[in-house]
Amino acid sequence: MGIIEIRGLNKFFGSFHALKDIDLTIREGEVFGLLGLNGAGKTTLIRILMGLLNPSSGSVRVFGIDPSTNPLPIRKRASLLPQECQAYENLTAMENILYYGLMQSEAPKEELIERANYLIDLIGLKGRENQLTKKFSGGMKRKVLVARSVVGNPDLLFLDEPTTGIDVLGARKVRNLIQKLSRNEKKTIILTTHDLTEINLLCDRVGILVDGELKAIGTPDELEGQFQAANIEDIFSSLVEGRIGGDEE
Amino acid sequence: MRRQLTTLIVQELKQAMRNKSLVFMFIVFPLFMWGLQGGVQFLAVSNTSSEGETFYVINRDLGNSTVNLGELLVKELDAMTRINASIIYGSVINTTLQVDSFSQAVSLVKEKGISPLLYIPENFTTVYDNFTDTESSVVPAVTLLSRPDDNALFVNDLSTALQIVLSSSPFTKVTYHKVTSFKLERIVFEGEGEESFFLLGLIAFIATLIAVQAPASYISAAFSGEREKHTLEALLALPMRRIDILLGKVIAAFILTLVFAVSNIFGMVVFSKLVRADLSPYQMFVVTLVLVITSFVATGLGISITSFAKDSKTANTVYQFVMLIPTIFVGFSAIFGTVPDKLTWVYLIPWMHTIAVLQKILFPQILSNSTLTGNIILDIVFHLVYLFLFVMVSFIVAARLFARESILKS
Ligand SMILES: Nc1ncnc2c1ncn2[C@@H]1O[C@H](COP(=O)(O)OP(=O)(O)OP(=O)(O)O)[C@@H](O)[C@H]1O
Ligand SMILES: [Mg+2]
Repeated sequence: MGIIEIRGLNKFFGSFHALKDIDLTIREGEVFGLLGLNGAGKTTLIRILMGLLNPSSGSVRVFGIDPSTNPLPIRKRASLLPQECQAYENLTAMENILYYGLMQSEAPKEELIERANYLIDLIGLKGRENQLTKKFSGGMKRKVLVARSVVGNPDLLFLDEPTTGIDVLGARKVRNLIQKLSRNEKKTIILTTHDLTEINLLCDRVGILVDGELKAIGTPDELEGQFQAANIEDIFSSLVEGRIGGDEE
Repeated sequence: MRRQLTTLIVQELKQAMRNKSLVFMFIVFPLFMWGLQGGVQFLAVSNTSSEGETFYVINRDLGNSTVNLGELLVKELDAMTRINASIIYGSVINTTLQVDSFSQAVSLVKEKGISPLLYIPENFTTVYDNFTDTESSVVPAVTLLSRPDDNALFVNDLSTALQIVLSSSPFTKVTYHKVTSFKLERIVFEGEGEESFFLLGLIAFIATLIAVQAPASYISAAFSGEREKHTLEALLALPMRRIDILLGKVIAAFILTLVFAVSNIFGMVVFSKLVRADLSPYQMFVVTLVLVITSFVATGLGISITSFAKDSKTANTVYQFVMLIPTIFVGFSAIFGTVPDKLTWVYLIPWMHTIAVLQKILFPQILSNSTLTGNIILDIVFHLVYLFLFVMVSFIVAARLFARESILKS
């Protein structure tokens, strides 16, 4: 049994078919990358897994629980870092992190403070934890948000485009942090990205979403074998171009 | 659950206190509004009220062997009408009238409309001379009679001028105690308290305006603001029911309203000093209470609106439209009269009920003949129940809207 089980999932927004017959199992401890163009349905899928959107049909289980009917126990063990998410700018880094911890976890406050301090150290913000986040750079803010999402010690992390919109250096630091969380803390991580090198660096397995359809799932190696391609980029382009029927572009 | 709720509330308050425009709306704005209104009134009073106004004096004081204090009083007043900086500068004293008794003076005022009229009794000097500082009760020495259709501001000034004269030489030559107890009596005939009724109407208007405006800033920060600043989705993804998130924010709004109420009390004190009206602590308490209720109702309505609107700009525009127009409408009816005594469509506006509560608590005698139910207490209960239901409905609507999928941006 996987930590996430998705069977025959469909999602409609009105008449728009956003997710089409998705079947997917995520195993405990893996880093799973969701790849897809804008509008492919990545965010929608993650929102359904967190119980923020309801599926139109099909079955979804996270930790064996249906998020559409009983999201709260899932949210105690799973964190979401939404796409374009921001920190509260009138709160300090410490306050942002602790806020989430106190809300998500039932651990005593002292324990959470200790863990927040550990995380602040980990993201390299020691000494600046009591500054308001509005004074931080994009990369620093993002690291605060990633730290925030793990302060309550969840088993599962959804990171929706964690490195989009920040500079190269910031992105690299966030990637390192994700790596540490996976290696040192054995978190199961599902992340979406437009960055193919990120997939290669971080992900154990990849799923490629094209127009709401999960066209391919596997480890980068498996996929390269399956599609007889040299790298993920080629696979991705051929799947996506297949969609637009061989047109130039 | 308890910890989540307190954490949320504390966080909301912390952020609000660090948000300059919010602090402005909740603390500075009320002080400013009251001060501004008071200042305008103050200028109006000092510029226009006394010029060319006439008042009557009947001095029946017999004096004693050495002095006639009544005459002295009239002389001092007369001098004040000539001093440029005095508050009754430019007014005219008419001392030609004669009466044989106080009741004759009263009928002059009531039936002939001769007012304002200052009546100085025969024993004015004697009473003053025999006055001992062991006497604890107030001695009514002179009486200022006026009618509701007199220029209220002028009468106010006249009364102040009299108090000034009575608290300066030679009236102060004895003891402090004597001065404070030796008071002017003031009687307004017909529709007692009309003048303060007008003032309270004005206060109700300002209070409503502030109470309706203040929560808007918090609400737009706490709801549309979360969406626009991209903090909402992570909040909704926490293991807390949406209705509890809403509740936390409403409680935070309520706490801010209390902070705001305190600031208003200060504002009111300044206001009453500026317009030289003595608001009693009871009146201020009632105004504050109604203010808090108004603010809370506005919060409920505001939350529904912001949950509807797609961004805070739209929310603000809609809010202003929904709130301000009825507020101004209601405000004018508060200043220029009493709330309707029939159930008309205007009672759909919640502020009509808050003002009704205010008027009915403060002036039960005046309004006892114009109640909705025939009983003033029952009326007040009715208005409060309406407001309560209104808030409940707003919250239910807000909770519904808050639970929609489309609250998340795509
Ligand atoms: N609440 C909604 N109502 C209507 N349509 C929606 C809604 N949310 C998403 N969609 C549509 O569903 C499709 C998938 O959107 P989604 O946000 O999941 O894509 P994505 O893969 O995350 O894209 P991006 O890379 O731009 O983040 C898009 O066409 C989007 O317009
Ligand atoms: Mg997305």
